[in-house]
Amino acid sequence: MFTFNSKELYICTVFSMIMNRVFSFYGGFLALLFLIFSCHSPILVSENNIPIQHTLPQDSATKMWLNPYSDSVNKIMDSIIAYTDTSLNKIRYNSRITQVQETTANLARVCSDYVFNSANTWLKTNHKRRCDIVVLNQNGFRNDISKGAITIGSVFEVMPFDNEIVILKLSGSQMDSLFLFIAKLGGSPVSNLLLDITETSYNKAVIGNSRFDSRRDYYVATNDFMYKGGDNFTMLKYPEEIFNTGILVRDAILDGFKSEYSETKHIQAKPFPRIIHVKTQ
Amino acid sequence: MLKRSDFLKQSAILLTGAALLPQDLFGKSQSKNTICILHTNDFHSRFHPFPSNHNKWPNQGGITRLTGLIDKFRHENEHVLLFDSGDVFQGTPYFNVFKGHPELKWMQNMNYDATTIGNHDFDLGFEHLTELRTKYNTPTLNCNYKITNSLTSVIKPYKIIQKGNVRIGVTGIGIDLKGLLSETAYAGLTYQDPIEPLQTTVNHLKNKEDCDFIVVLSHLGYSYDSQKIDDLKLAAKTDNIDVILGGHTHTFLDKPTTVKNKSGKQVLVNQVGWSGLVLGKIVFEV
Repeated sequence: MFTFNSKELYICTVFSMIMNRVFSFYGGFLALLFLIFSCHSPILVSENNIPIQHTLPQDSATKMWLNPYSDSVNKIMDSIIAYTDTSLNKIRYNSRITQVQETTANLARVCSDYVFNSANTWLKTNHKRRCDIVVLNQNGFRNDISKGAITIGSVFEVMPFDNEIVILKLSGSQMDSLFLFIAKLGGSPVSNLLLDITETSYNKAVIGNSRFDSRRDYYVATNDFMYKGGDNFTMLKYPEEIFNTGILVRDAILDGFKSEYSETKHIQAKPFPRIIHVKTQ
Repeated sequence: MLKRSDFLKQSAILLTGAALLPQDLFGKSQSKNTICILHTNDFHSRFHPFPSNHNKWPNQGGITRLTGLIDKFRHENEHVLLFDSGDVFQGTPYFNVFKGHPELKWMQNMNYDATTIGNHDFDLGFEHLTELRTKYNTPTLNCNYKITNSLTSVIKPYKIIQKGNVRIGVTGIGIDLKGLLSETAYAGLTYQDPIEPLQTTVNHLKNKEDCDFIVVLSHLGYSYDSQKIDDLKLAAKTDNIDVILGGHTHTFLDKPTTVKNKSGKQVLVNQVGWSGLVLGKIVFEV
């Protein structure tokens, strides 16, 4: 616990030399001991990590300062776009995940489907082609949606980033690298894809209703963050073709909630599994 | 028998030595200073408490209460230091609407002594980060990014803060941004493995700048199972650091973790979750 900087060492040495000279060797030795223990060294007095509970008093000046910001944000964010009967939760995929846990990944699932709808419509309209799958990153989902009203604000909290949907034309071997990478991650938010994974590889990939064919190209919708190598999806960096849709991922999700709600009056996670994880042990 | 001349000579030496000593040495040890360190990390634009129907933290957090608590500790303690370990931006619509201005304005109002930058502070690009940190005069520290872009005017390697007769040296450490951000967002910034630049900076603060106490603000993350550098590994592989205040992994600790450094001396490593849900308070006598 004791440390000395150069000044302290110098002082200690000089003082013990003097004491040695005046009061013999033992005097010097005692003086040195005395100095070591009297030299300063930081002492921990207390350590508290204090939760900010709602019982703590509020600072009124800060409240006043915050009010105008809140008013303009609330005006935009408080409008209700849909209702959900269950909370929609983000989950952390990892190599230890089981199939049961995957079925609770309903937030990523719902959102990936909405992104699929937007991307597919855009590709059909603009290039008369069909989108095959959606792959998103789990870290892109930043908050859960609580049971009850879904507001614009709650979707902003799920997807705060202003990332755009990009559609990439990938070769069969790039698709294979993508599936291998998803397997190693233990899963990732996907749509229109069923991936049967092990801890290091995948057994089967089904796109729509057909088995994955490594000899053909596929259209994969993702976000521009992942396309630029984000979250280490490096196999997305050099596609054979890229389409910038200009649609924000968040806007696709907002549109999805709005249109599904107007049709069904409640939001529901689709029941079939996307990622099946086979335990190797 | 002590000869008179010897006695005079020894007395002279003793007096000279004594004249050199007391003010400095005993002055310091007699009037120890109590230093109260307050800290936050990963604020993520969370100005208001989580909603009452939130499944994990209903009604918790919010800057009105956080401000109240920090002010209370400022009144109770003579020497208070306030630090932040990065990722002030991104996470609520406030960031989408106001682009980070209220976050940094609040930190300016709170008189933060030093901050470091997290990956999300680059979410609107380094030029935006430079503009805001300049506008709100945010003291920003980092010693392991090699910077050749506009951020050089904002980011300093360390800061020395004098509280009573204690000199506190503070520096900052940032995470490898590769894969966390699109590369254009941080063009002109190169990550360096933190151990060497940190040790060099800390040694400078300790030996050349004569600091009594060293604080590191880190955005590396608390702990990883892999070889990836984290705060616990950083504490164990360095010397002369007293406290590491971390961020990035949103880790909630009941109290700081004690780690033995390279020479067996204790280092405190702390992190207080995220979203302003917890305020860290560590009190030292120096």
